[in-house]
Amino acid sequence: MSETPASDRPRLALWIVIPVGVVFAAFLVLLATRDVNETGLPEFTLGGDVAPEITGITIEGEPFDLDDLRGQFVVVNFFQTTCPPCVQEHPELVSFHETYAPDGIASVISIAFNEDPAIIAEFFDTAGGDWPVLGDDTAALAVEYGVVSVPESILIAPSGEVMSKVIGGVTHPGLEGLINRWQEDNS
Amino acid sequence: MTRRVASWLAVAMIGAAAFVYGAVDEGEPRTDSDRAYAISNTIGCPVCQGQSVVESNAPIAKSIRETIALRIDAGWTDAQIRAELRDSYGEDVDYTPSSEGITILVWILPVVAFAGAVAGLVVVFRKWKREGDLEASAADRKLVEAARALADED
Repeated sequence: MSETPASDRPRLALWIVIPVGVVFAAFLVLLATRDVNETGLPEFTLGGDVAPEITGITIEGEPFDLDDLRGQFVVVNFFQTTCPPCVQEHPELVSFHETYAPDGIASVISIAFNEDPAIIAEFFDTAGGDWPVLGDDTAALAVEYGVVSVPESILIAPSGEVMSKVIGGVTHPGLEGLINRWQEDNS
Repeated sequence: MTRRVASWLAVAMIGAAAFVYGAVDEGEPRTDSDRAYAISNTIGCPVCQGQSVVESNAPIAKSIRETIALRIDAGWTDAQIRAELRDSYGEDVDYTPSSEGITILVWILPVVAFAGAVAGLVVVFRKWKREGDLEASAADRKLVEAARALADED
């Protein structure tokens, strides 16, 4: 009786091993070539989209609707009174708002992140800032705006389109620069 | 159809039925908090490495948990909630791979690999069986006769 040549078995094994190897190699290629975000933070996906709706009651008990500010630039600032960079950027926001809000060019609104409205009110009494501040039920707003930490500021164009996001503290000149650049790009 | 083929078919059908039942059946109706926990447990905290929003104490994890509960109260489906979180924080935040785009491979490849492995085993078993049933050739017989003759001489 003739035996199966010994060389047949390795060949058969190859037929099984090769497809499995190809699948694993494809996985490795996919993993190696996928885009890696160097910052380690999620990508900001809202740029160019219409800004998510913001409505609610301010800490002063006034109704607020972002749509009422359509036609001017809006800085949506997510903050916490206990975060040092938030405290540090606050005078810059005050200066920016006082410069542009009276003429209806740009405004600031603040959204407190997981904080007691009474503490927020006290902070504004001390540090200044005369703009709408939302303090209740702000968790969903943070998610809708893709906020990951504070402070974060989202700039909204007069058309209602999201321009950009600044992670970390903002400055008055920095905000002016972003607005000027946007105006140049869209003129 | 032989009895053996029928029995293998029966095993395959029972296996497939169990697989489909396991994939489709959702068990007892879940409470809202069960749903919130299940979603939160499979959504990664965007600022912590390898922690779900259930495990993380980061403020954003807390906000995401609250948002998930709010969305459930508002009548959103699990898929809608996951889609919102993926829109805000990217695909990587969802530990349950979607069945769209390149990530569909995560679902397809294991099935293809399993089918390939089964097919490979079938081929190997059939080949081994064929080898077992081989008839001795004239040359084989000649060799055996020669060997026997040699043994008889001894």
